Amino acid sequence: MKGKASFPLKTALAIAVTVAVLAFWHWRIDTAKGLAPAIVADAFQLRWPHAPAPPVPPKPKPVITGALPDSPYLIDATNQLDPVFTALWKLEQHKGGLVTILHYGDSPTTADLITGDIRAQLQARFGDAGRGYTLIAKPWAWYGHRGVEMSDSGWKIHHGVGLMRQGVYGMGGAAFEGQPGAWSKFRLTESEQSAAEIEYLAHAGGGSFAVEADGKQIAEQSTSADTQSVGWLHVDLPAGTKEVTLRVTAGLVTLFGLDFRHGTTGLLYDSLGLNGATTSVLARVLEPGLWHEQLAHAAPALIVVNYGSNESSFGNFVHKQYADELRLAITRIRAASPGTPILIMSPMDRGERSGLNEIETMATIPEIVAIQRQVAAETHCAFFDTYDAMGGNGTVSRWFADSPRLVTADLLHPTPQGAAIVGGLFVDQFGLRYDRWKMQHGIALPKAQAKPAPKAAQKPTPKSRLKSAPQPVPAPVPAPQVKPALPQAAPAQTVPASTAPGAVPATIPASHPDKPASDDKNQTEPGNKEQAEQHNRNKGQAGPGDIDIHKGVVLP
Amino acid sequence: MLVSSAPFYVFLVAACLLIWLAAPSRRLQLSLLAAANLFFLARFSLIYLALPLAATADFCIGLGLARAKGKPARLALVWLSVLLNVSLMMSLKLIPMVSHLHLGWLLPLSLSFYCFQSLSYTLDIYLGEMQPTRNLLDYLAAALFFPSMTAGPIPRQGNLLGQLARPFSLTPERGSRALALICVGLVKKLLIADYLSNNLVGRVFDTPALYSSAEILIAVYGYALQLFFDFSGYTDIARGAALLLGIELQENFRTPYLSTNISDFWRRWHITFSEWLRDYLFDLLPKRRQFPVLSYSYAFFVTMILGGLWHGISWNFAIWGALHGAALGVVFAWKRHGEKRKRQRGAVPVPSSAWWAKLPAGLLTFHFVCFTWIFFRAPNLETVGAMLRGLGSLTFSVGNITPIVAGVLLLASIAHCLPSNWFDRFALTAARTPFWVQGVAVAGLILLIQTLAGRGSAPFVYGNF
Repeated sequence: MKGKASFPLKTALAIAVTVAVLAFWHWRIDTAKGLAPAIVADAFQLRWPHAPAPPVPPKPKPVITGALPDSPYLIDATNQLDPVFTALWKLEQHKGGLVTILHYGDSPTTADLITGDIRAQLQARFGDAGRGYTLIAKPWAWYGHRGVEMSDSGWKIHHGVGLMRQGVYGMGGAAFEGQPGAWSKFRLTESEQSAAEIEYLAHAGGGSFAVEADGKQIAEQSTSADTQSVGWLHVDLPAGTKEVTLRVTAGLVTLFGLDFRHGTTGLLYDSLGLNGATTSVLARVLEPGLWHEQLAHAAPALIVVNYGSNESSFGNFVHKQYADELRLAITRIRAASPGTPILIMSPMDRGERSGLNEIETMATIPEIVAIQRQVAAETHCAFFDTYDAMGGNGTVSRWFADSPRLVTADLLHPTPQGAAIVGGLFVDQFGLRYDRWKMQHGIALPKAQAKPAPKAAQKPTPKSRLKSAPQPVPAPVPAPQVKPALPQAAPAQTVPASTAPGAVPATIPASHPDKPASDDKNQTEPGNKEQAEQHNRNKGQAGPGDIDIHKGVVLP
Repeated sequence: MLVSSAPFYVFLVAACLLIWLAAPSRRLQLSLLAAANLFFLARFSLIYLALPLAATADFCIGLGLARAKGKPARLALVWLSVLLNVSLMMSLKLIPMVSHLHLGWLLPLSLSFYCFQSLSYTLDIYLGEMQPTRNLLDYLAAALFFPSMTAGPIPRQGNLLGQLARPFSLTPERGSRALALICVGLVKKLLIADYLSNNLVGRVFDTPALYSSAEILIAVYGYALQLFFDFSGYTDIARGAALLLGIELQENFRTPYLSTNISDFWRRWHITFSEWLRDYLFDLLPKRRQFPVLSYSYAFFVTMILGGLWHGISWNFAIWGALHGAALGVVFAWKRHGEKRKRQRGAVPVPSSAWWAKLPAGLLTFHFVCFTWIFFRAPNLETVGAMLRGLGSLTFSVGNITPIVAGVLLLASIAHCLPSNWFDRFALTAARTPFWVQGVAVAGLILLIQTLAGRGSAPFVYGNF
């Protein structure tokens, strides 16, 4: 069969030019684009069908030889979290106080996804001190705060994302400039709040704003001042308030955030998310003087630094600069809030498509996690390995295939179900570490689930896909016997050989953020081990090796 | 090998180059095309190298149909072909559904479009529409034609064989048109469909409870546009790739969301599929002349439910098909009623063809189609319920619709409405430019897509059907 066909020269030359330009681009301009030799090789690679990479098996439960539980994912070699645990123990004992945790993060935090779950679970255990800090308006479409519905109008919004220079922002990294006509409404959808604290910029030539509760004005504040500083207006909300409105009444007003409170005791977990943010926001953008004022006012017990997802798009930055940027951020946080413990929380797994229905973990994610772990160790910060805790390599691929999906189609953001898992994992491991601290200090852990706690002391169990941390907490029982106060220098060594069931320490052990109160080595010393085992036996609990790391309790 | 991925274009260029160089010998060209078809299948998985066995069975059935004299023998042969292809299609759909075996990875490529095409061959021979080919090589080059293998359009085997029998021809105009079709397809898929999917549709359908009524409604509109640009993007790429091989594939979309009724919609949406359903299912269903409305409505209903279940064996797709079947029945009854009135009263005023006169019917049709897309997109009926509850909550905040998403939606809406002759004019203009301008322009567009489209391409929606 012969035809009159001829070679289509013009089309072939056009294609040849395309190939040449793309190859040149890849070779000389940008190796991430154009025509890479690997693409040519890939095009002609044949293969048999292969099953998707098997899920990375969960890490085997560590065999804990000592009496103390430990978290494989929350690393705190220098016991930086001890002061936080001390404060939480006070709350658990109903001794009052307010424990504030600030969680700086990127887009999942912006939507209050993971933080909302952590807040719910920790507040169920330690007491609800309020919804916490929310921005004045939505700087990004996905901004949200659980339990608060926001609407706004008329604000000029500034935020620190994408900038490499300092600016005037609130504790949440954003500022909202408005003139008369600008307003924000916050509808409380879940629980009543007793007070609100508005963070604003006091400056020369400032204006004023009013606060309304359910449409009735309850306060007005001038923002005029001789020098630039941060101001706070505290207003008590009438009982049953459903909606709080902020309205600019005169002049030019800059507001930063609104902090909802519920009573005066309990736990506040502030979600400070900046969409698209990287560690550079903390390292370079927040103005040190103002930030110091803001953190001094907030008096956080812990600052969580949760970035890395956005950095993962920039391989060269991760290889060359990320570690230094993170160190700089830690230095800046320490300068702004001296003495406050810092916990670096790694990014979640992030996927990218590698073929038909194939998704793999971005290569930069494990690299970022490793850098964070190393920097945390160097700078004496606690570290939570979110990536590993959620399953490590290939997790997003599995989560995307799950039903319901646990991660959205961008292979980056968790769905609410996925966020609940991550939140649950964090709370579990945090609770485990807290239990460890308690045991180190001779504090009785709650009895195992098989034996329910006294009805009056039971607290609601938050919804979570994992059976998670908030365990029934026994009501504080007055110590029937004289319980010696634990010496501050080495609490673990003073665990009494015999402790009455339900006994609690009469005093809270002092914390030593800079020096470990007791390290792992101490725990494995025979004397301590025996004491702890004896303690457990007295409590009717199991001895070493019976620790379920996923429940954070000692099994019977 | 997704047709939106870079390796596909390396393969396509290599295949074209070899086939073009073999232009003096059509036989050699067809051999190379058959080899390229097999390589394309093997690139997904070597297991698909068994597909020529099924194709050869249909080829033999075609020969048998031509030789068989008696009706029972012909009927038996055509049923054998139907059984072969339907069971192949069903098994490929059912195996991944057996989730506890986790065998979805074994057969990553749905072969529905191959099965439709093969059935069109034996059914056309049975119905006397065409004569079988006597050359297995020609048959394999046509039946396994790689550009349309993953997601159509569904070519009629007779048409394809006819084109392959003619000498190869690729004029500079057709070459430019092919490159333009591929570029347009890539923009549709990677810059519009994937963007809307990742930044709006996927998020809202994954978690409808987090969004207001207005946002859910916008996401439903977004899905309508995503699906159109995803599928028509694939079709454009397939048509462009086929054109480079000298084959003209049929158009599959003609501004479907400008339809004025649901019958019109199916003449503009996935045209090759709806024509296939019409010719090989609807027309073959028994109908009673005494009760035309009833029997046609029944036939529409059955056809569309089966069409729905082809997309996936679930209640969602069954309801989607049933809704369209019912709507086609209503449109048919309405037209019959109009014709009856016309006969009774003589001439009736001709409806105005002005756009404003068509607007209400167009809006109604578009919103009906969008409503049914909820069933089509939602993973289960619970999500459908959540979407409908969200729509009914009458909340109007649009804070989650970013300016870029709104911009892409607007751009996509405008692009959808552009008359097809604009593209023809553009392709003609492109053909007049020197080869190096064409080459640089295509490379520039690819670099732009690489910059804007993010990492990787999502699979084509219809690639899963």
